[in-house]
Amino acid sequence: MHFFSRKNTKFLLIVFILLILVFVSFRGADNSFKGFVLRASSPFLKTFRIFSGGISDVFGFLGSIGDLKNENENLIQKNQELLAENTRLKDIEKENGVLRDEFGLAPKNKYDLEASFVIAQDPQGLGNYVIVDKGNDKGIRIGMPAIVSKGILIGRVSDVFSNTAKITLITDPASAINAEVQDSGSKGILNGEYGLGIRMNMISQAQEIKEGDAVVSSGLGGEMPRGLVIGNISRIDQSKDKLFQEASILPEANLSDLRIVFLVTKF
Amino acid sequence: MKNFFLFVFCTIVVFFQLSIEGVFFSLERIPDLALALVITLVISMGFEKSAPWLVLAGLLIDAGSGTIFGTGALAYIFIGWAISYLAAVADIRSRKILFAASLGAITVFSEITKDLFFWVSFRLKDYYLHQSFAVHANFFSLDYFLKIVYTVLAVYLIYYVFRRSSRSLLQEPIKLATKKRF
Repeated sequence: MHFFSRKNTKFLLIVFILLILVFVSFRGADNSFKGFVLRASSPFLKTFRIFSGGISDVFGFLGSIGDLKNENENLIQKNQELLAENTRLKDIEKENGVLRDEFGLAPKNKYDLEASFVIAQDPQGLGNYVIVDKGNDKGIRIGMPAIVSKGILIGRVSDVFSNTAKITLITDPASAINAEVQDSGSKGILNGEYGLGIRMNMISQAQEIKEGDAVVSSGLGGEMPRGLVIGNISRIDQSKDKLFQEASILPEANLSDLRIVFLVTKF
Repeated sequence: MKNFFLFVFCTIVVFFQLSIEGVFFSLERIPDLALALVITLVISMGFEKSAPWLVLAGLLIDAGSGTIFGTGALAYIFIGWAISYLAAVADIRSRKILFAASLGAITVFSEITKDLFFWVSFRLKDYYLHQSFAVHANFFSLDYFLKIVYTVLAVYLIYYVFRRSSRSLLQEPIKLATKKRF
């Protein structure tokens, strides 16, 4: 068979054009191309997502016992809100005390939030992120924290396009968040373990932590507010070199069923 | 009419993957509907006629992926071109069980090839641009096994839907690729 058949010639031509596209993307046009396609497709993606949410709810409803399902959902949401509120109040109380003692400054406890719909997720299942329907046009910037239920952290904005943004979830191994154990104040760094787990590393051996302790953002570095709920300690281990403690964290938010998230635009 | 049908079919399948699947599947088990579409189109229409639609599907997937824009389309074009050389598929298409088995085998190899391609793309982006997402590419996990199984099932479903809808929506069905074209 002749190599330069019509099919092979067409194949080589397309590959050549795509290689140019990849090269141009690589040289800095990646976000522009993606932004353009996402801008054109975001209304459809949003409609599809809302529609699928409805179908998912129907299946969920059929799979449970009528009203108990709704009641359960309401209670879970209420529980999450109360937990977030409780955690934040504890944190504010602690912060208040410290500031009163030392500086007499009023604590910050109010965020500016931008509500947004989750319209897509990683199509290849190789990363851990979602795409939301707010972007540059609404003042969204890279690094902004994303929360649900008034204070439960789910991730951080990692890419912004004209009217969409990408949020890397806290379960992504690339995610690194300064956190602390609420009761003991032990500081550490949170990294995602692919799937639904999170690991808190670099906890000093001198600090006492226990299973069930709540973990919140520490606010160190100033990239996100202090006191956002992350989850609870489910297991405690020693680091390989035995210099630090490590803890597995069970996230408070259900990251596999995100529909509406709030981006913290100002704190 | 045929092109419009193909455009709508391709965009709906890709939008399903981007937007809807995450509601029903956990992230690491999401079946690759775009790959199922690529396999269906190449086997049904041949590489030459399906090439523009493979590029469209690839670019739409790229927009939602963490890879460099264009690499998904490149991966699908390579896979489509390779599949088109499998003359055996054309030979056994009339024998249902053998065809189903070969379709499954093609899907498994295509999925692994595609994920390797994406993994390399992620690594290159990470290495040169330092802006990649961390990539989970454990090819020996239960999640990955289930992802492949779901994708194989998706290929059967999409192939069936495509053949049926092309027959009923168009005046005449989209002509099957002949052995010569393979």
